[in-house]
Amino acid sequence: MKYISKIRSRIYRQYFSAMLAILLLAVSAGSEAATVLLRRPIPLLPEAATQLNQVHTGKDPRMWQLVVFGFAHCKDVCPASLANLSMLVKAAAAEKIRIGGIFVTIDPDRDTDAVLSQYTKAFGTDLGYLRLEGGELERFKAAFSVETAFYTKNAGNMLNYQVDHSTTAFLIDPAGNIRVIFDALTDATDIEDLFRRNRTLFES
Amino acid sequence: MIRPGALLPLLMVFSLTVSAMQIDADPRTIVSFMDKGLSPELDILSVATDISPDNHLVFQVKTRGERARGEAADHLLLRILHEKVYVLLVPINKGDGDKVLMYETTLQSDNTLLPDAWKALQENSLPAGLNARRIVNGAEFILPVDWIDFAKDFGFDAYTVSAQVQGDTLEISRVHDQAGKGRGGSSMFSAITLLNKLCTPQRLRSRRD
Repeated sequence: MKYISKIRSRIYRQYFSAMLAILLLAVSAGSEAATVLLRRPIPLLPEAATQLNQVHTGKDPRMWQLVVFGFAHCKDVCPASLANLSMLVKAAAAEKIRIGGIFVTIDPDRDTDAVLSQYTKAFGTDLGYLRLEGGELERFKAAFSVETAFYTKNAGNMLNYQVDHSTTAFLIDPAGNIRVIFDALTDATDIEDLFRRNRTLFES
Repeated sequence: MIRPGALLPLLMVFSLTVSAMQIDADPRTIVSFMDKGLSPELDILSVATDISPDNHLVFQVKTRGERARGEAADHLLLRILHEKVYVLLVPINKGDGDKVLMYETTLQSDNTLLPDAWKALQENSLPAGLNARRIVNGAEFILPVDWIDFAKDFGFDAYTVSAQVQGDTLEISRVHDQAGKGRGGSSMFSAITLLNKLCTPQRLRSRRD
């Protein structure tokens, strides 16, 4: 009897694991990403271009910008995005391409200047951050079609909530045009290749 | 203590609820209402977009069934709103091949309606890489990413229709089903949204625990 019960619970465990695997697959389905070198660059609205330029004030005005979105309390995805961003800024410098990395917070309520300064420095001193609030942040997100969904954030819970967000990243030329769209998590090596193999893009 | 056997149905209900919430909120997907009054091959269940690794935009249209032979005028049609209105169509009958046809017209004041008459794109205006392929219970329409102007808005919907091709014009005589029926027509969104992948750490973590 004990033996049968053991077998039954093993079968249940296997079913349970299979269901979990299916669920995780369903979540990650469609996670195929692509790096898109835009045939028709997208000019940013002057407000968004100015806000980006303010991050690296005093640096070379002919500098390109690599922009990723996220929030400092993100444990799973944003650290990987930031690590990629830092790696790409270094890879560009090695190819003598002037690029500044910018992390834009989508969660300014928790991401104060102090939090962001410490957070970005942990990934390299060559990264800057942008913290906008309210309507300014909404317009900036809209300029890049950034999608966000806040979970369990309410008046009684302003600290322990989670945010889903798009992981799309952007390469912007010195004139304020989006030139390349890629996934910050999966496409960093494509951008690294771009630095090496498509230098004319950065001379245009 | 919950018996392991009781967890399975609970998990299934939970997963369906979560995936339904995700799908409804996702502009890249249309989940269609099932209509058992229609033949299975004319009843659209869903439309989903994805970007392929070789930089093509893929629209996957799934129907409740499929057929090899039948009324030749029946077509599976994808409508795209992107500066103009475009339709791509393939025959419903698998036996009639999977050659994709593409037509266009100007944007109308009311884009909830599917116009009756369409003009074919000239051969040299067809996007390079335009394609379609059969899948089980449906078809995939494939367009090169380069064809999209990411500075503009984008919208899509899928239909099953009766349509006649005469010369370089297409006439739609009857709409059998529309994926976005009852949703007030195609919603438009920024074309960049097509490229967005959402990270969902909360859901991933809650399922791992």
